[in-house]
Amino acid sequence: MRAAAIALGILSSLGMVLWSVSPPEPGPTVRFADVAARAGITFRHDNAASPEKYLIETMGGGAAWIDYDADGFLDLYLVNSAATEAYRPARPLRSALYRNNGDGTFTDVTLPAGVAAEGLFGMGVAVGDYDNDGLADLYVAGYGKGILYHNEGNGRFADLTAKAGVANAGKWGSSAAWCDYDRDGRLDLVIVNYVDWSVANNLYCGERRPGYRAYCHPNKFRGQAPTLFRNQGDGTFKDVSAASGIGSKPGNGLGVVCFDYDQDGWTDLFFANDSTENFLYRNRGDGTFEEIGAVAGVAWGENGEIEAGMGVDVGDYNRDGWPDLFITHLDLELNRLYRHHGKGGYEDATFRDGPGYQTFHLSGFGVGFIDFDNDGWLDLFIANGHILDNIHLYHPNTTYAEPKFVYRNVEGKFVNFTSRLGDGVLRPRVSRAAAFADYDNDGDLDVAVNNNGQEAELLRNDGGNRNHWLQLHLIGTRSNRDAVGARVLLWADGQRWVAEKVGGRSYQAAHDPRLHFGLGKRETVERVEILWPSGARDVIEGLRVNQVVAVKEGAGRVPVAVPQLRLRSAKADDGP
Amino acid sequence: MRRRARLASALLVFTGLPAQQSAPQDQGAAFYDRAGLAEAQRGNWGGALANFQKAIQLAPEFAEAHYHLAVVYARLGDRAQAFKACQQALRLRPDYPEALYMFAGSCHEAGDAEGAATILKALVERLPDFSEARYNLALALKDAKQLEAAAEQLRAAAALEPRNPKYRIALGILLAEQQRTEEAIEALGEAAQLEPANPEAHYNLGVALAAAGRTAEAGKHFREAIRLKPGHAAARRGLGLSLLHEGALAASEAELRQAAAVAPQDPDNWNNLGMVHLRQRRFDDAIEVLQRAVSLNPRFIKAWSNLAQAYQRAGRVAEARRAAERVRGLLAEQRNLGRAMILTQTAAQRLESGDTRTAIAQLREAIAASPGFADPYAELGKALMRVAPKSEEPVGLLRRAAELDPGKAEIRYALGRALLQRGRASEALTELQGALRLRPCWAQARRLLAEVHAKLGQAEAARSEQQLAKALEAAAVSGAR
Repeated sequence: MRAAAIALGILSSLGMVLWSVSPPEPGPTVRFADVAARAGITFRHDNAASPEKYLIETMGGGAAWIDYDADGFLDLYLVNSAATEAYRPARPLRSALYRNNGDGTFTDVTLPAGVAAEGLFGMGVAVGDYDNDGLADLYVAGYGKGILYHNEGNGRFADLTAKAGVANAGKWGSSAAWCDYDRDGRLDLVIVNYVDWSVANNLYCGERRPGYRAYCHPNKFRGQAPTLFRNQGDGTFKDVSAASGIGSKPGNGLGVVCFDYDQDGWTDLFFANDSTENFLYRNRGDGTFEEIGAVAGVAWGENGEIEAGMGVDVGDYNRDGWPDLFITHLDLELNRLYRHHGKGGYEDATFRDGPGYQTFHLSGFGVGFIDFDNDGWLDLFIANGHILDNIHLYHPNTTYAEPKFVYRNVEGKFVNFTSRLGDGVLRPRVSRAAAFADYDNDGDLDVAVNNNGQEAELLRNDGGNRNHWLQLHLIGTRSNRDAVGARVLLWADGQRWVAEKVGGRSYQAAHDPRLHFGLGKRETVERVEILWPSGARDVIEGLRVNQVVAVKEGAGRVPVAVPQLRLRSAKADDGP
Repeated sequence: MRRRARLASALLVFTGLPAQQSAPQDQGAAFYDRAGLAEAQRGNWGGALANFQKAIQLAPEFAEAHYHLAVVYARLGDRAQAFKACQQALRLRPDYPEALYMFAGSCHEAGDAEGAATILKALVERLPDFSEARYNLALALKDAKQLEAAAEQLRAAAALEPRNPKYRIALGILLAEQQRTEEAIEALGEAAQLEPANPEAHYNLGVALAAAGRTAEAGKHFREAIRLKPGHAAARRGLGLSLLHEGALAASEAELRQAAAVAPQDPDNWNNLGMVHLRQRRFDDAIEVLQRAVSLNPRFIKAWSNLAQAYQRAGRVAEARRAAERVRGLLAEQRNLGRAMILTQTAAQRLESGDTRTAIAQLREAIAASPGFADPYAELGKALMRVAPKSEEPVGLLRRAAELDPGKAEIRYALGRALLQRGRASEALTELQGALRLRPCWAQARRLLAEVHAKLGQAEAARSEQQLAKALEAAAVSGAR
């Protein structure tokens, strides 16, 4: 029967949907309020939209939290695009650095800091102290090239791209991450590259009717392999993509996270690829990697769906001690939750524990496992926005701008909590990068979102600190100073948490460098054990909650290595 | 397709369309034609056939008798003879609505949705209350990717026959495919209310509800479809998938297993079972059913990737890697094909705008990207015919395209034209006849075929094709109005 055949196709390919929100569940009273304008963040991303529908116009710009002046308050960097052959803005487009004034407001310091990245069609951004001088440096990935901004320590940055040899020239860098893959105590740079699109090979896609021209599917172009730059310790990097194996397979890469998936002490690399299989590169510990995405069960979704991987995050959502993954995808696909099964791989837990079909009509980009209500369970924050600005012409029920979605983790099961979190979450936007940090140092995690062709948002978490928390500021000595790759085990009230200081995360974003633990109503932390990338181990016992604790490798707890935090929270700070 | 043809024939016969029969000069022929109709009314198709044949023998130009003969052949299942008789009716009387309607059905059945839609549009304009014609027009428009126009016709048909659930079911399916889920649910809900015992109404409503996330309601309608028709494999599959997504693994397995028992040749059924077994962590069982899925369809990417998972979870790492490699290979082919498709489309546009050089380069790139894809060979052949009209390369390219995709009428037509230009009329004849088997309503191809017949000295055949082309062109003009 014809009817039967058609309809069955719908069921198996389109699946079930909903973006209406589940009935409210009992839970904490938390709101995310967009305070960007109030805080003085006036940045508006320009996506250089043109009738030529250049693919680069769809990608958005990055967002990064960086304490560039080391005053203890995280500052915000937002990435912009640039003029193209089809788009000539009246004024040059610039990325922006906003200094956190420590009182809830920000000041634009882009020009004095020298980080405007003018002329770069910017994409993702990574923050890391690659020369271990105690100052956070910036890498801005982009179309055709990237820029390494070295923090000079005087409020200014220097463009050391050429000297360092990390231009990634000719490639379309999307997201980037700093991590120490060879455990030599220096941060290396990983860049996930997209496709070989260019103005010269731009194509007409979509229907040939006025208004229907559409951005092309990335598979119309050739995918690009990721790039791995090894830090040589003298301010220069060596491209080891080929030698390490990272550059062996092309993929339409968008998201990256560095983490130790098998807990063997060596940082592995995961790349979320758009409409090609995802890559999980297992670190062999000898400078080379083996790609095992398919056999580890993360190359594609349940039932073999090759989906449009965008953002990715890693976290132990079910608190079994193993790092799980969450990957965002385009609409008509599913955002995937991959549960680590502890035997060298993952199983797709999207339906068992995750959002199932609820995000089917949404296009997810930035994503974070963040415990927004500090109840001790990692929740999910997803920034959404479609790729096609004319999607309503093709799919009447789909919109370009979309609300964000937030799932509360109720003891290992995700429950849609979006409707409870206020306008900052519900207001439709074409969201891309989402960067997570406690920018106001009040003990709960806030979110900065860079929206494609729109104003950025600063979503302040109000109420998350009603539960207790602890933040760990890790300072490597033998290990890289940022402690990327450190694994932390924390015990409170007889229960254990496991977290890793990972590189990358989300989409085109960089986050709070401190490890954040929500602790619910627990009053004390009995023990914290830190396993440093160098192999060293530090243990601290008997900590009070609601404070930032700085730990130096080999020295244990130390007076906080950044200036005293000015907490807005009424909670006491017994930190040093 | 077969259903559509049956439907068309049934409607044509003696109901629906107003009678427009004209009496022939030969009274004997008229007598046998009436006798044939009487036999047909009694269901004596053999007797009807004999009478219509006698009528034609006495009056070979008697269009109505040819048409009636066509209907009888269709009833007897001889589609080739039915088509031939219908063509003859149209040659004799180009504006013959019943014959045009039947011819449109044959065109659609052959895959010529655009041609069918053109004729049916003309008919609907002449007979706006003919709901079945609107329905068949909607099906043709849908296949021709004119979805909005298809929905419009189905709504009109439903308005004409508000008690007939068929139009609402078709509308609901169309809307669901466009992701207009709520509208689809409304249309299908109305259909289920109109005919509560119609399993298709319940099944499709179940699908639409599932697509709206209303899984419990969907399950109810899938179950109802199964109750009404226990062998409804698709409904069992729908129910099984809904249960799988709800985590009811044992119940899901039971339904999917039954779906597989009903339709064991459908690899989707085995793949779905494989998914359930993966969730159940019964990896050996998963391997068994997934192997069956890939043996039925060796290019089934989802099944291969599930098989890779199953092997891996079962500890059979080497086999997992091999299955994963198979997935990669298939994906690479898919990607290369996608790139070749868009390059071919872009090149075709460049050819239209006169940028032949770039177009040729893009087409060569497309061929290199996906050597098994016919379209760039055909487009390159056509492009080279412009720049190198005497070269043999275009013929070679078009032949290669026709070998790769023998079901594409446009390629056969282009090859026929190229051959005709080179004076190879006999070969051109074969190609054009092939093209018209694939797209019988293609007037332009009939004109060219007439030209070939004329070149070969086959005057009668040439005249016959010209007449048919004229009938089709007249219908197209009328439809366009």
